Amino acid sequence: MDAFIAMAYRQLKRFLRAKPRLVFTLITPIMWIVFYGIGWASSMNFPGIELILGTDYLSFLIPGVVGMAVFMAGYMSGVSVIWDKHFGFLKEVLVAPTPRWQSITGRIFGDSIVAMIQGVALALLGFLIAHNMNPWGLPIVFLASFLTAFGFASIGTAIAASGKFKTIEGFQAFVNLVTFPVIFSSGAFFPLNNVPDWFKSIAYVNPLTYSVDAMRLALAGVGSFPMWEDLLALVIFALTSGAIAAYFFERSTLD
Amino acid sequence: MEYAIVAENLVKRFGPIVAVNGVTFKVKKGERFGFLGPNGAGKTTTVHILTTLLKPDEGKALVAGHDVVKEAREVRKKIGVVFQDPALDTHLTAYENLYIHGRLYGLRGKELKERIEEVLKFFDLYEHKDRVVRFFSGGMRRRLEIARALMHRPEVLFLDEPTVGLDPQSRAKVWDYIRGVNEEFGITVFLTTHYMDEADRLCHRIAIIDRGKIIAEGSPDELKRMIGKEIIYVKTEIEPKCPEDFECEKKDNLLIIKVENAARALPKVMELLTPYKILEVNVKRPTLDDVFLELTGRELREEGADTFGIFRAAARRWM
Repeated sequence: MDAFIAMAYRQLKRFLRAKPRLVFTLITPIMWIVFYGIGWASSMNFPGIELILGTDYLSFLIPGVVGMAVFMAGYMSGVSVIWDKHFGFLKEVLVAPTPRWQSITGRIFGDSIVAMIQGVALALLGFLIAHNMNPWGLPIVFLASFLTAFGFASIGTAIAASGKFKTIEGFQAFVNLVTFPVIFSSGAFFPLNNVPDWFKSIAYVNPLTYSVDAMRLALAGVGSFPMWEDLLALVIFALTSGAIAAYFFERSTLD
Repeated sequence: MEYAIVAENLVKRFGPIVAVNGVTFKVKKGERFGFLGPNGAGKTTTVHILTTLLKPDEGKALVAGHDVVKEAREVRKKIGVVFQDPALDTHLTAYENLYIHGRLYGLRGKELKERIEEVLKFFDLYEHKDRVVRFFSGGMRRRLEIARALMHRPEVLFLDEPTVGLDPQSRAKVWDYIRGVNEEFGITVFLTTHYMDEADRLCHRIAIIDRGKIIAEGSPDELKRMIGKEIIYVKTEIEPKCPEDFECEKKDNLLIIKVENAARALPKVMELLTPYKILEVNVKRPTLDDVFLELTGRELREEGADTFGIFRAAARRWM
C-alpha cells in the first residue's frame, strides 16, 4: 500500500497546490451550461417539453455536463502520465522496488478524488440555475463521479503507458479524437430515446452514457436505465480499465 | 575483492542503432567509477540497463550481487539513481518529494521523517524544505535529487551526468557532496559524464566509452600515462644544453624535456639548468581530453560529431 499512498498523496498535493487550476477546469463546463444550456433552454421552454426531456432543459443538461466534466478531468489526468514520462518523474517511480501497479493505481485514485470534487462542485453550482434538481441526489453524484473518473483516468493512463505513440503530436491527436464521440454519444446534451439504432449501439458501449444516466436519475429523476444498472456498469468499467492500466504500466520500459 | 557492479558484454539496440555494443567492466565496492564519453556514446543507455529500466539484448549485469533482469526488484532496493533529466516533481516542496520517495521505498512514520531530515541536513537543504522545487536553482535541485537517491541507504549510487547545466560553483559543490557520500557512507558511486575534469577529479577509475564501446579503462593517471610522457618547458637566459639522461628538444633558449613524471624530475632539471639562468618553467600534463583525442582522433567535446551521435541523442531524448 505504500506506493499507492505515495502516489495518491502526490496527486492530491499537486491539486491543492494549484488552486487556480480547480477554477480553470470548471470554466469549460460552466461555459457549456451558461451559453449552450441557457441558449437552448430559452427556446425549449414550450409547454410539453417535459414529455420529451422528462424535466426542463437546464435540469436535464446540468447532470450531463457534470458527467462530461468528470470524464474530461479523469481522462486528461490519466493522459498526463505521458508528461511524467517525458519530464522524468516516471523514472523515479519505475526504479522504485514497490510494485508498479500499486503506484499507478494510487495515482489514478488520487486523480479520481480530484475529479470527483470538481464534479460535485459543478453540480452544486447547477442548483443555482436549475429549478428541478434534487439535492438528495448528491451522494450518487459523488459515487458516479469517482467511478467515471477512475475508469477514464485508467483509460488515459493505459494509452499513455502503452508506448504505442512515438511522437507527442500523434499522441495528442489520438487523445483528442477519443473525447468527442465519448461526450456526444453519451446523451449528455440531448435525450437518446429517438436517435437511430447505430447511434444507440455506440451509446450503449460508451461508459459515459451510464455515468450521465446515473447523475441525471439522481439529480433530475430522469433516466433510461435503472440506477443499479448504471452503477454496476460503472463499477465494471472502473475495475476493468483499472486492470488494463495496471497491466500496461507494469510492463512499461523505456524502449 | 567483491564487486558492486559486474557487466558482461552488454548489448542494446534501438532499431538499426547499436547504442551499447559489447560493454564489459567491473566496479569494486566503495569505488567511484566514471563512464567518460561524448554525448550519444551509450552512457545513459548503460545506466538504464544497470538500473533495470531497460533490458539488454545481450549480455548480463549484476548490481549489488543481483541480476538486473532476473532480480530487478532486489536490484532496485539496493540502488539509488539520479537521472540525467530531472525527475523531481517541481510542483511539490522538497519535503514532499522526499516523502513520496520514502513511501515508494517502504519507509514510513518516524523513520521516514528522520531520514528526510537527515538527508536534507547533509545536503544543506533543511532550511528550504518547505519551498516548492520550481523555485530551486539548478544546483539545489541536483542536490535534492542526490539526497533523495540516498534516503533508502542504497549500496550503489548511479549518477547520470550529475553536473550538466550547472555553473562552476554549483558543480564544485555537487562534487564535494558526491565525494562525501562515497567517503562517509562507503557507497559505491557510478557516474557518467562528458566532462573530462569531472571524471578526472572525482573518479578512482574511469572507463572511456565511445560509440557504444569501452575503449580504455584505468585510473585517471594510468589513462594519461597511456598516451605518453609529461612535458617540462624551461626557458633560460643563456642558451642551455640538454641535461644528460633526459629526452630533450631545444628551440633557441627553450628546452622541451619529456619525462615520465614531471613532479619527480623537476628538482633535478632545475638543479642542472640553474647555471643557464632559468626565466620560466612550465609543466604540461596530458589531460583526459588528450587521451580521448589520441584514442579516437576526435575531441571529447564535439557533440554529435558523427551522424549516428545525433540520432542516438535524439533517440535518448525519447527514452
